[in-house]
Order: sequence, then C-alpha cells, then structure tokens
Amino acid sequence: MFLMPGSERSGKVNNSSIDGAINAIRSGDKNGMLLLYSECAQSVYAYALSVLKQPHDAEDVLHDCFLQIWEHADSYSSRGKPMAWILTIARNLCYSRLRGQERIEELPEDLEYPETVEPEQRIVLDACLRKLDDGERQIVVLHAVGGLRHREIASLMKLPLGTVLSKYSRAIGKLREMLIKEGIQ
Amino acid sequence: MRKKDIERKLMQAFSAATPDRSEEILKECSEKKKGVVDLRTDRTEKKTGTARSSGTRRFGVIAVAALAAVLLLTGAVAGVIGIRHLRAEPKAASEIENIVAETGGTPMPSPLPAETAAPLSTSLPLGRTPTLTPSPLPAETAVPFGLMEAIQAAKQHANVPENTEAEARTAKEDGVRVYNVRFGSDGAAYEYDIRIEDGTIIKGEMELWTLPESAKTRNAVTLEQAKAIALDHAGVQQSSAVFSEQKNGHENGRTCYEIEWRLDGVEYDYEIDTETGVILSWSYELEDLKRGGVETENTSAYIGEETAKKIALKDANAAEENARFTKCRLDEDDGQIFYKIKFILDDVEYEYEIEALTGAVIERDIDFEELKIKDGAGDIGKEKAKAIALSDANVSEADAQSLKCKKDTDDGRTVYEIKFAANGIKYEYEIDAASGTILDKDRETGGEKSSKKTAAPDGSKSSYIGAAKAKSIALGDAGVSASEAERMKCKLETNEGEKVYEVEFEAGGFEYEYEIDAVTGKILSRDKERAD
Repeated sequence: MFLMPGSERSGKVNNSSIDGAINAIRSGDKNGMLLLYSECAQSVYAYALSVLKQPHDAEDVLHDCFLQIWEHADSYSSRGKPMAWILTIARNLCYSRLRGQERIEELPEDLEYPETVEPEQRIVLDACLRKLDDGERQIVVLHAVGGLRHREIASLMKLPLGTVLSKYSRAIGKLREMLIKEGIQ
Repeated sequence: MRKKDIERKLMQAFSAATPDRSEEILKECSEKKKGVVDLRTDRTEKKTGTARSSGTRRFGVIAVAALAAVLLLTGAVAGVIGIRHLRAEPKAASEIENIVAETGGTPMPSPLPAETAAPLSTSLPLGRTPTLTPSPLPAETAVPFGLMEAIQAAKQHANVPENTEAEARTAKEDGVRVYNVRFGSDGAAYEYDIRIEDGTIIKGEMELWTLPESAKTRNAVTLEQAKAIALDHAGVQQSSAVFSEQKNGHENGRTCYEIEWRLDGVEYDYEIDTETGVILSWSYELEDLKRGGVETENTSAYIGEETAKKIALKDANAAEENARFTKCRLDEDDGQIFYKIKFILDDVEYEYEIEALTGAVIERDIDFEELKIKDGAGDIGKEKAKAIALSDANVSEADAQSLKCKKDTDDGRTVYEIKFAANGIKYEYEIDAASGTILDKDRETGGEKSSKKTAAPDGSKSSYIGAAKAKSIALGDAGVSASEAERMKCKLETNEGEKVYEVEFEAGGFEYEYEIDAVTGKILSRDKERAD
C-alpha cells in the first residue's frame, strides 16, 4: 500500500494524521511533533496572524502553541477534531496576548514577508490581511487554511453558523474582486 | 476565479509565509521531557532500546514528517542500524572493515525481524565487484515504466522490505518526467526519482535520522577512512573516483566528512559521521537526467479519459446517466499530469483532477452555490422578475411606486435589479434572470437600511415558518429526502438582528448547512462539504 497525495479531502488538513501525531507526542515521540508541525504550523500561524496582525507576535504564538501541545497532549481527547483543539489553544494564546496590550495594533504599513513568499503570494496575503475586516479575515483563514468546517468556526469564534457562512461568502467575494483587480487569475 | 482557487492561493501564500520554528521547538521539547535522543544532541536515551531523533530535513520539513508518518504507520521502532553492509570476507579486519562489515553469526541489534535488517544491495565487502551499482537500471525498451514497478525498483535498490510503506507521485525533474518515490525504513529516509520512459533511477538519496545503537561503541574515523567507507558503500574502486570535495561539515547536529565525486556520469555525495564512521546521508544522481532516455510523449500508460470520468463519478457518488460532462482533458501542473474533469449534476458543478497514471483523486471541488441556472432556461423577462419581487414584498403592482426594473450582469450572471417603494418603505431586489431566484433583497424604512428583512411591510410581526418547514426547504434545496438525511439539526437563531433557522444534516457522504429566513423561508446561505 502506498500513500498518494490528494487522497485526503480537497487539500485540507488530515485529521487522522494529526490525531496519530498527537498520540505519538503523548509518549514523548518527537517524530510525532515533527509530523504535527508540518501538518499544522501554517494553520496556526495564519490564524494567529489574522488575529494579531503582527508577524512577530504570530510567530511567538506559533512557538508557544506547539510547546503547549507538547506539554498538554495528554489533555486532548480524540474525537476526530484535533485541529479545533489546536486552534483553540492558538486562539487562547492570541487573546492572552491581546489582553496584555494597551490597544490593538494595526498591521504595519511596511509589512515584510520572508523571501520564500512570491510576488503573487504577497498580493494574496496583503488582500487577506488588509482588505477584510477582522471577522471575515479570521473566518476565511480558519476555513481555507485551517481546514475547519463552518460550524467548527462558529463554535470557536462563538458566532452563529449563519454569520460564519455569510461572512465567509463575503470575504471570498472581496478577495476575488481584489485579486482580479491586481491581475491575478 | 473559483472559490477553490482563492482558497488554494491563500493556503499557498500562508504556507510560504509561515516561519520554520521547528528546530527551536523540538529543542525546547527535549528540555521539557527528558530521555529523548535525537541526532542534534548528545543526550542519551534513558528508555532502554530506543533512540529517537528529529533529524534535519534535506528535502524540507514535509519530507521527513511524511516519513515520520510512514514510520508511525508501519509501527517500526527506531533504534536499528541505519546502514548495514554485506558480510565481510573472513580475513583480518582492518579498522575500516570493523566499521563496514558485520561479523558472521552476530545478530543485528534491531527490534525488526532479521530478514528486514538486510544490507543495502549496493554495498559490498572490499575487493568485490559490484553486483548492482547505483547507476541507472538497464533499459531494454522505451515502454513507460509502471508506477508499481518504479516503487519496487526503488525498494530493491535501497534493500528495504517489500511491504515498506511508500509514497509516490509523478513529477518533472529538469524537463524529465519521473516517478518520485519516498519511504522510510530502519531509521532512514529514502527518496528516488525514476524516469518514467524507461525506469532508470536517475536520482537516489538516503538520510539517516536515527543513529544506530552500535554507533556508541565505534571510534572516530579519519578523512581517508571516511572516503573508503563511502567508496565501499557505493561499490566504487578508490582509483576510479575523482573527488570533487572532501571537507568537514555538519549534518543533523553532528560533525561529518562531506565527500563528493563523479564517475561515469554519476555524481556521488556522502556525509560520514566523524565520531563513528556511520553514513549519515548519501545521494547518487545522473548528471545528465535525459541521458539514455526517450524524448517522445507517450500517453499509453495513462488511465484514459473514460476511466478518469468513472473515477470522478464514483467519488461524487453519482450515476453516469445523470451527469453532464462539460470538460475532460489532460493537464499538467508542476510536473504532475492529470485529467481535468468537470460535470454538472442536479445543478451542482463538480470539478476533479485525476492523476493520469494512477487514477488518484488529486483535487475535488463541488461548487454548490455558483450553478443555479437551469440549462436552456433563458430569461424570465422583466415582467416576471417584477412580479417575483412584488410578491415577495407582499406589495401589489398598483401600490408600488417608482417601480424600476433593469437588466444587469453581476459576477458573470445576468440579473434583474428591481426597485420600488410602498407604504414608506423602499425595496430593492436582485433576481436571477434565468431561474427567477431572489439573489438579494434590501428594504429601507425611514432611513434605516436592513438587508433581507423579514417583517411585513405594515410593520406587524409575521409568524415563523417553523422548524419542520425550514428542514423541508433545506432538504428540498439539497435534493435529499427526509429518509436519506442523517443527524439532522434545526435551531432558531438570531443573526444580525434577524431570526433564522440553522439547519444541518448529512446525506450521501456530504454535510449540509443552511441558514433559512425564519419568516419567509428564504435560503440565506448554504454550504455543502464532503463529510470526514
């Protein structure tokens, strides 16, 4: 038997793989941590960035989130929804950080992306981070990058499902419009 | 630009922007939980018999993590010898032979069965002629190599058990179509590129991520000894090799000798641990990837359009007679060849990408919201559009003031925009020209605008349609019968000041979510995703 790419649903996160990784982490297996990082890091970072709007802060949350997972893997109860658990940890870390700030900082004007980010990807990131409102941005990141279902997002963000659905739809529409305007097809 | 395209662009952009803090995190994990060995530290495993490592990634985080997944799946336990060699000739052992050879009758300190601890087929005792070199497999014909054969060849070359879990995909290397095969075995990660045209191994790599137990008892090696180890492993005579590089480096946190040479059009690259002589990594690569290959396009190995369509239909749980195919063609993205397939079924557009050689579903997209226009429906006309809007607002044409109706295009769809006023309320509607569906509506009362407001024009509160009706509307829209729906939920919620029913259910392998106006029964939003 061999694994083929695309056998998971539509490129979204692989919950059973993540479940397995967390189980491995419980027994101190760092291979599990490595696997978990490769599966989830971008979702955690993207969500943290969508909340905090500061890359350095998002990076710190990324770091702290995985350390918390390492320390508290025993508290995870497998119900096939590990991403929701992980992103809840990330959310709590984000809001802890926000509570410690005097005010919510705005996205820097001169946001620097790593060299690995291509020009078109910079446009996509800018569109997402700058042109959507907070709710739209977090919802679209949680669904498109984090792989959460709408009702999981509704539960995480304590919003009605309908609000999540309509905000998501609106966010996609805005992004489409902006990307077409920038000449991206 | 489809929703799926935007989602994919977001994923790729955030993936590229995500920093790699894995090393730092793993290091802190070591400090928090004691007794875990990895190649980056010299800490000793306190648990008996296991040596774990995180390893660095030659091929990126994904590669080793994928192999870690393979390790988890196979249930293999780290702590075995990473590299083994064939039994040495029974002669006085030099320092090098002690390192490279196994003594007869001494069992390998491996938790795996003995037959799985076989040596690499490419490594030989000193003085023997190689029976299998890391150079390309002989190709007798130009018939494209099958995927299973490619995986088999890779495993044979690495001398790993046949049942080793492997990951494979088609790719393109410098314009050459290859099978890229990856697997892990005995604490090592392997990757091969095998030319599709003829099965030639054009590239092979190994990276060790578990230091063998026996390494603890070994002594440091000199550069000359390290070269000998590398050459012996590759089955190459010292005199044949012209070294391009011999220097000290670091691999996985350990000091190593980096040894490179070229021979007969093959580039060899080794990293030998200075403290133990263990081979931390090796790679062989044809310098000219197209050498010996066939440059013709050969699609005879592909599954064919009909098979690809069948795979897509089966995945969508759809019968062929009900589906209308709008696209089926070969496409290529980043070296991977696939069939791009689109079909429409019950007003839902399905889009698939099916791997051309293996038939694997690479991507699927079900665009539930975008296709609501019945084929050949034409145009309902202005009068009909006005009637729909007035009926929805419960306003007669006689009572409507400043009634306007114009045709427009919104997001590629033809719509009627209708405006009128009645009883001090201004109404705006957007109606799909083909189907008559109300796409959007607004009403403004005394300067206060509210979208999709559900109260009657005279301000009196309307009664709600009820949960049963809401469920029925959702099921009808989804084309699912009540008996087919499972785990159905319906609750009355308030969304932005309006009362709505949130309906969820599963059917046919999909999860459906609806938001329905509690007064009018209008579907405000919907979502359909494949169930886990």
